[in-house]
Amino acid sequence: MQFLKSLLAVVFLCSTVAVFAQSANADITKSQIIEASADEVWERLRQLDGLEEIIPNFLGDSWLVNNAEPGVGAKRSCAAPGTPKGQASYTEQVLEYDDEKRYYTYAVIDGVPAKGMVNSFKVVDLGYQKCMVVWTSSMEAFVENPQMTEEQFLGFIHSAGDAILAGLDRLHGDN
Amino acid sequence: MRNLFFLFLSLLAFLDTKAQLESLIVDYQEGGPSITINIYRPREELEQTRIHYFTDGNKLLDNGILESLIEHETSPAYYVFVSTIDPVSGLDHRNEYFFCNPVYLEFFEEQVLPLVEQHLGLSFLPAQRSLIGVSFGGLNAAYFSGINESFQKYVLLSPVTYPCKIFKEKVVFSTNQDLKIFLSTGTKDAELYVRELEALYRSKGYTLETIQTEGGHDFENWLGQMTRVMQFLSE
Repeated sequence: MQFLKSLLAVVFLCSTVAVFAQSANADITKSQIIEASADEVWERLRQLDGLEEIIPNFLGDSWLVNNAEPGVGAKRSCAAPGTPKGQASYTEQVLEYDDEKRYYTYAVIDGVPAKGMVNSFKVVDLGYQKCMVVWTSSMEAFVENPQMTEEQFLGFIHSAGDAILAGLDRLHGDN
Repeated sequence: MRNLFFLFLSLLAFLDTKAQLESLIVDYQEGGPSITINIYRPREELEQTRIHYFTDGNKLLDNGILESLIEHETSPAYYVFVSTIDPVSGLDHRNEYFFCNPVYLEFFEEQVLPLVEQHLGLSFLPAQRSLIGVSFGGLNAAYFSGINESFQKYVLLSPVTYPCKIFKEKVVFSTNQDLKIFLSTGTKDAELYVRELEALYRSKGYTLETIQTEGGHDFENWLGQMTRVMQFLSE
């Protein structure tokens, strides 16, 4: 019986990731199981700002532009560590936001060498005070620039995705 | 007897407006469905006038939009009613055309607009053109607003946007500037979609008017807003 439950859990996890990755048309999908309730983790993510607590090595500050309420249309500015206060390194805008399904998608509207970049977070409830966070990232095209190659940029995106999930696990997981 | 007389006059007026419609038929795709376009010319033709394109054209005409527009006309304008119904098969292709369809967008830009404006012998600037859509037609207008550069004004009446999401990205990433957008919903209608659209359009800095009516998701509600819509478009 225990084996059957575990098998079902694995099937559920795989199918959830597959369905979500497909629906988001993601180029990159990363996931992390966290020993904390979905509500607890979502409560942090749903606020949109405060990302620097999750990834302090990547961000010095993040804030909602014009103190917007979290939701569709809200813009989030993010600043790399050491950036002067109030100066954004890049800005994102929420496209979809669903408290019930615990997910949001956001477009990176400036500050990155990419066209049509859309990322998302989803928190999947696994029960028993356990959840899985799925982060996806996709882009239409890389924009050539003198600062960074496409390979370097993709490397950065992968590292950022890994760092976000590790940061959430550090903050909420039962480590 | 008097009632009969007024009925007769109304019928004459109705036939009169219908008679002013000029119809064009264009193939959407080779060997595929066709599209009927009905064009109304204003009585007073001015070079610097506006042109309003309505999707769901046949249904709006059947529900009396032309009479409503003429009755409440604020300034002379051309009205173009683009149908979604194939005149041969009678099939309605709106769900194919309106769900963020790049082929329909291209068809509209490269065939409908040139055909209509060539037929009229006039050329219009984006600022003179508007696109008006109801329900899923509002979704289509939202999608167009994020990509298309031929229109500067959009009217989305009770837009229902759940069938596709890509329009949000298109709006957010759009380089279109100075758009004028009219958004409306009835009660228990499209409130959620209008709230989201309003937030996205406001963040772009577009000129926006939003209203909530007491009406529902029906032609009576949409036709009842035409005076306000036309005022907004003529400002």
